[in-house]
Amino acid sequence: MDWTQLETALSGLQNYLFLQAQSHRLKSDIPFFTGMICLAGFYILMILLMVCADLCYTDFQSLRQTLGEPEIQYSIQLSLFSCSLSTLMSLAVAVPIGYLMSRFEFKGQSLVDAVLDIPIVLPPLVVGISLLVLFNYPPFHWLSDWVVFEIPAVVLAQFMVACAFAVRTMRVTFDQIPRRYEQVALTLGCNRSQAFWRVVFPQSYKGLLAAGTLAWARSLGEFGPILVFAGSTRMRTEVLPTSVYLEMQSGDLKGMLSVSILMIALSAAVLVLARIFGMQRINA
Amino acid sequence: MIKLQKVSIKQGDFSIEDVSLHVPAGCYAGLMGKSGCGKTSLLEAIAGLRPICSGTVTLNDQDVTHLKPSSRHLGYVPQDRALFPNMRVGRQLAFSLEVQSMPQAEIDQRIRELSGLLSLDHLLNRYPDGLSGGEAQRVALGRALANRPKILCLDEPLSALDEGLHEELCELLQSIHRELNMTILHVTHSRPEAKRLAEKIWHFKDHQVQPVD
Amino acid sequence: MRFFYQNRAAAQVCPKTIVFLGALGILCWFLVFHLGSDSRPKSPWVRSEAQELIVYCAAGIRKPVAEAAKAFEEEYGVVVRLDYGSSGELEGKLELERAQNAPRCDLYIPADLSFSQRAREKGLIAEHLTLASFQLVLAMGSDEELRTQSLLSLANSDLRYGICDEKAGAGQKTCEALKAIGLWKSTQAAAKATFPRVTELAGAILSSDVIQAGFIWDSTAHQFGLRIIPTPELENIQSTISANVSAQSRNPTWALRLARYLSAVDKGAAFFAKHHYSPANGDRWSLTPSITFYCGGVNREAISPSIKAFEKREGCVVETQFAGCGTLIGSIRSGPEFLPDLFMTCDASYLSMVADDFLQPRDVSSTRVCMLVRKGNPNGIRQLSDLEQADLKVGTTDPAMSTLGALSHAMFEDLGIASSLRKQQSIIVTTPTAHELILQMEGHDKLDVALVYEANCQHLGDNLEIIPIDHPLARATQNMASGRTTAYPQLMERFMNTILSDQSMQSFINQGFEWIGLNSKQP
Repeated sequence: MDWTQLETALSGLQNYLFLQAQSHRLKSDIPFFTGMICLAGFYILMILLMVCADLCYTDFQSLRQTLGEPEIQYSIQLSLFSCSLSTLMSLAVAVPIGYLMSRFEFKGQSLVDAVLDIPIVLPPLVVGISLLVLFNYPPFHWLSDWVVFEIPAVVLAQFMVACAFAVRTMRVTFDQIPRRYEQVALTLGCNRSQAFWRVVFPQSYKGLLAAGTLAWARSLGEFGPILVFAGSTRMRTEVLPTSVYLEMQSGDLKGMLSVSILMIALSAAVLVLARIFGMQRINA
Repeated sequence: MIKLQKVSIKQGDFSIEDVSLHVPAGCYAGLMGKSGCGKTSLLEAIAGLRPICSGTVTLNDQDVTHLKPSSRHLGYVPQDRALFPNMRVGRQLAFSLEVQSMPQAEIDQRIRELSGLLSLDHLLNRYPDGLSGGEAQRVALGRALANRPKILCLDEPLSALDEGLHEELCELLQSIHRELNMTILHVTHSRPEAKRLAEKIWHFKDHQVQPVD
Repeated sequence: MRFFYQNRAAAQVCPKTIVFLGALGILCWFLVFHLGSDSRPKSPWVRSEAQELIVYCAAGIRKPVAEAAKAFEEEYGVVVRLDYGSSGELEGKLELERAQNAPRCDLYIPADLSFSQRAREKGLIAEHLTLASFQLVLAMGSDEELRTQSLLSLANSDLRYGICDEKAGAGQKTCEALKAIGLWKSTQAAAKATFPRVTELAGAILSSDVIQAGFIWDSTAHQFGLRIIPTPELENIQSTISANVSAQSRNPTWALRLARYLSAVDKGAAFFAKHHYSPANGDRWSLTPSITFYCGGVNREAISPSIKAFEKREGCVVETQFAGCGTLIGSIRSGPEFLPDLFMTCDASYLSMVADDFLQPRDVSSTRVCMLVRKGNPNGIRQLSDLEQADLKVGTTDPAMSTLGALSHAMFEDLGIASSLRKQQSIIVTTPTAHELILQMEGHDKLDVALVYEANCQHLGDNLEIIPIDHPLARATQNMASGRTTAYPQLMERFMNTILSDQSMQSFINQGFEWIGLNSKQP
């Protein structure tokens, strides 16, 4: 929340309190704000407490030890790389889908809409199995050697799920940009492509950023499909969530929490950086 | 010149049927009607932003019924002005020229002319966010005029302005009409406004357009 | 495709709808979980099912059993009918009922373990719960002066004592105890009189001057107000009362509940203590005990029937958590409150990681590591060392994180093929568990060989086949142990017996395990 917004809200609160002293008919806004703040605070507090509990359970020693392992270093690198790549791919697909779905109405649109939800609805493991089976058939089978159980499988598995979320976000973004801008651009001599790239797309920048971070975060957490479609081969297809799972398989709770904390720190850093960088560009 | 022959528009429950209208070249025309009667739709149909079911649209002796908006060479200022929020005023003015890849020197020259005509010099580096109603309206006009269209379609250009600005802008519109010798179709719901500006007035009523003497 | 613009109604949901749906959801949740849980075993169910229990009880221990049974009747509305007799007599009745195929008895409570042992050997009884015990002592009238300290000097002293008939009960115990230390002959010869039962002997000590002392039960001595003379020779000579569920019982669940009630530290124990018996260390009472069971995923299908059978028979709830053993170890280590009542592993090595938290483990089964190949074995793989051949694509589970993977890779090392597998990059994928590997084998044809447990291969598609591995390391052993902190150690003992029963063995064998568990027959 913006500080100025909060200040406005609070000054509104003061005004109402003052007014209330004058008139008995006006009911207090305190219950409203108390309720809102309590509910919001509860959730935020829960998140922070969860992270704190993780931090309390591990110690610096095991954190450093975990960071020092070459397997973990590799999985950090792979996670960063694959998430970024799958995010770019997701955006590349989400922007056109979001735009088309938002601007045009056509027969079977609700069907397409439902299809776009499938990756969100499907259990993660099923996505993995489906991908695996898909690569039994040409033309995918020709790429099998290069994809299945290899790094492209990781990216593809992340992309399949993350993209659905990016599409949702982009669609809402385009829905919120009035069509009037494009219309004016058309009368000013643009074709549709020029109108899109010069007028609509720059305005979707915030949504693009949101979709990107969402896709990135989803990709980072992606786990089920990767396990089946790419395996969890160490130094090859092991990403951070797989590391957590493997640590858990071996009953190493401390190791597992160390990797988890690493993931939290990493994702927080990337998301905050993306936001700062992105907002700068928007405000520029 | 703007000529509509038996134009029908259908959009969901809303429809306009068999509307005909002829605005001679160089005429300042006023189109009056209550809000929601279809004035804006008609304007959009002329600009090519709304498909028509039947009839023809002729602009300056050219049948543009099936032409894209970009090929109709008219200036369109919507009611909400729709200034591009991501561009400074200068770029808004240059927009239609940049789109057709005009040399930068010519663009600069044209912006100077426009900003002189519309007194926008001090605003060129602002974003639309920081403009007042009158300023925004002038920028929208400038943007529409940049490519030297022969026809200008204005959708309630004065409705959101206060008294002083209202008069100021009326004069501006009149001078534009005079100096550039344009055909202007001015849509408004206000009779005094139409009388003050237009040479010919049409009244949009009961899905039909009738001239007012 | 429509090209132009229309005012699409924004896909907005009215807040009232959200509130309504939320409320509806909460209502459903409430209905399902709160009212649903009410329909779990509680009073209405009790009355409809448990009509009457027939208990055969040794006459000597009538009082505490009758009182505890009455309390049970009152609490749960079950009619408990007690038939008294000597332990041997009641055993005869049990046998007769079986011969006539007219089962009547639900619970058999003899005064000594020897009876229940014999009944079990004859197949007359199933479960066995220890209730209480009593001890053989030398007792004397309270006003008598003590003149002997040891049984050794008893025969030569002028103390006038009596013994019970050696055929049964206390007399039999006296005979056994003294024979063991070589004093029976002399003690018997010097006894003033022999009585048929302890009550007569105790009565004689109390009322007649002719008999000053006698070998009787401590509970009888307390009952008659007699003084107990400490004799080290008799210290461990005791008789144990047990409740035994008849193998023929038509209502084993309620019979077991009554037995558990009688043995419960907070229920039946008080009645036995009141009548001077030493109560056994039974579980805490709960009509429907709820226990947590952590079970290694590999056992899932083999063990499920046993869990169901046990829940049904004991009238308890088993909350089973199937997961990879590492995961389970993770939860076990995360705090004492996560200790399960019972833990069964995928491999014994896991239990040794947390040995301190568990009691003595018992072996159940084992399964072999095998190779999974395509139908018809196109690569001609006969043994593990064949994996060395070039261009073979192998999948294993993670060696650092799973037992199966560790075993697989240890075998590669042992056969000296590990380095060449590494060099050729033959192992193209590793997964956390065998399930993913099998899935990957079935779902895609890229893998040629996968190393999995035989027990994983019960639902194999017909495009795969199994090649056994002949290597000492190709085996994982499943064992189990009850948690040190369990509130129901006796119940867990019976649960383990169920898991080790013949039916369970059959289920494990059907799922491709090898059976190494000792049979459940109790000592």
